[in-house]
Amino acid sequence: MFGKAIYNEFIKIATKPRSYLGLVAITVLVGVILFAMKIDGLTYIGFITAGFEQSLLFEGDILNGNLMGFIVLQMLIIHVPLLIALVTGDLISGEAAMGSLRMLATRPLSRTQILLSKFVAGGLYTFLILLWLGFMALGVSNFMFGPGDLLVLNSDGLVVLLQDDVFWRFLSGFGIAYLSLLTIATLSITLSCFSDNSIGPIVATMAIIMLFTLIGSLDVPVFDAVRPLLFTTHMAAWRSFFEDPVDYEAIRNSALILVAHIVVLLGIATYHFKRKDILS
Amino acid sequence: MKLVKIFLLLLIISTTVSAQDNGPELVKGVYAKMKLVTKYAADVHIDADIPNLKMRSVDAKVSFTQPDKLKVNSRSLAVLPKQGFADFGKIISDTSDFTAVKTGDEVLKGVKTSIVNILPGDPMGDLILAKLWIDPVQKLVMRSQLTYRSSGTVLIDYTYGSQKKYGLPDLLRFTMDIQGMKIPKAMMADLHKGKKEGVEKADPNRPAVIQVSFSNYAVN
Repeated sequence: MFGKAIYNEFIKIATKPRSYLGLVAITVLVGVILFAMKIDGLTYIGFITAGFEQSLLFEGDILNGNLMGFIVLQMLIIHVPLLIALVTGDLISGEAAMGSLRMLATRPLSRTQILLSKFVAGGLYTFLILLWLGFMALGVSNFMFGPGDLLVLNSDGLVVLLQDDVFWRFLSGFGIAYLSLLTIATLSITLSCFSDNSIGPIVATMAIIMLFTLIGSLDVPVFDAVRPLLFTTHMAAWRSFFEDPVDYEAIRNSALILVAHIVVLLGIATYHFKRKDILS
Repeated sequence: MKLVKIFLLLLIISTTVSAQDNGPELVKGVYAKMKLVTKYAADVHIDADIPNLKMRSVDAKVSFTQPDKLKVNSRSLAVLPKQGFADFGKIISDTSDFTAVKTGDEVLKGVKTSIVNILPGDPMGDLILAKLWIDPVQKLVMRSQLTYRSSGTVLIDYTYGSQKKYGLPDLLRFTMDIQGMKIPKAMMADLHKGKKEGVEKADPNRPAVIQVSFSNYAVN
């Protein structure tokens, strides 16, 4: 019965036109980035390597599919939460607005199961969006630019990762990125429980992300204590897989904080949804 | 006492003059040995310790054709010094295009070497000054210090082995200064940077060192 409920919820998502906005947006955005890089990528990379190239000679293709995949992910992972919230923020509030929540509650499912089925369906949608982003970022980039060693930029400078040593990093990075996006999905579902219209939870989700990102980027001591607890601080944890050596402790810490957010938010959503007035 | 002073002065002058005379001959000797090789191919192992650039050791194949055509084939991204690797032969090939002055002697790795300063004929060229430590017996360059207008000074230490007779080194050690780099902020988001406080970072202002080990030479 619960499996059927998840299936139904996923079909509901699939029949909404807005669910495809994310796929279209990712396709267009990645297309624009790859087109620009194909035409002018060497100039872009030149900004980074210019300091070295006065004295050093780089042999091999710096501008390759793996680097493009990394750049695409870095640029888009900030925007994907909006595409996720656009769908998951509507899961409860959309039904409340249409008045179908009451009918849904007549089925032989507890309210917790109804909420969890929506959460799982939302999680599946998030996975598909990330899968599409991964395909566009890595698959299409490698097809267009060919494989090669990955030149990664972080605050310590440039790190060159060998081609054979890159795929597992992308795979693991996607795993952590999925946790980040699932946190966003859970946040928007939780906010959706408190609202009877779709716009509110979507906008509120984005406002929270913006606020937390701002707090995270403001390098002032007053936020030092709170910064490590914000989920936005850990949304870029996927990049840690591209360091050499990999900082597993930081990644584990980020994963734990993201999972804690998911559990707490889901708990709040369940608590509120079980007491939600669906009759008025 | 006065006589002794005059004698010493004459001795110094005569030594300097004769040393200066040796400069072009020493360089000619080195170039004659280099000319024995018209082309070569070799496997190379590149170890790079460069500030702000972390990379693992890379294996590659190099082929060189006189005077300065260098080709590197590598499956991985490899980094080599831009100057001082293949252009050295070209610099000393035309003795009329530079002034060579012997300035002294120095013992390097147990070998007595003559220090020769080379001033290129073209004052506007990229190379400003080349300082060579030459083994006068084997006609081998043991160390060179090349000062370029564009990229500063490159110090190269040579270690010879199997291909000594051709003047081809088994190991080249480049030491140079690298300029800082600019990174677009969009490409540098590193939200874990605050967590690396305990990690001791290498000095970003240290000189870059690149070691190139040669093996499996195929000469001419």
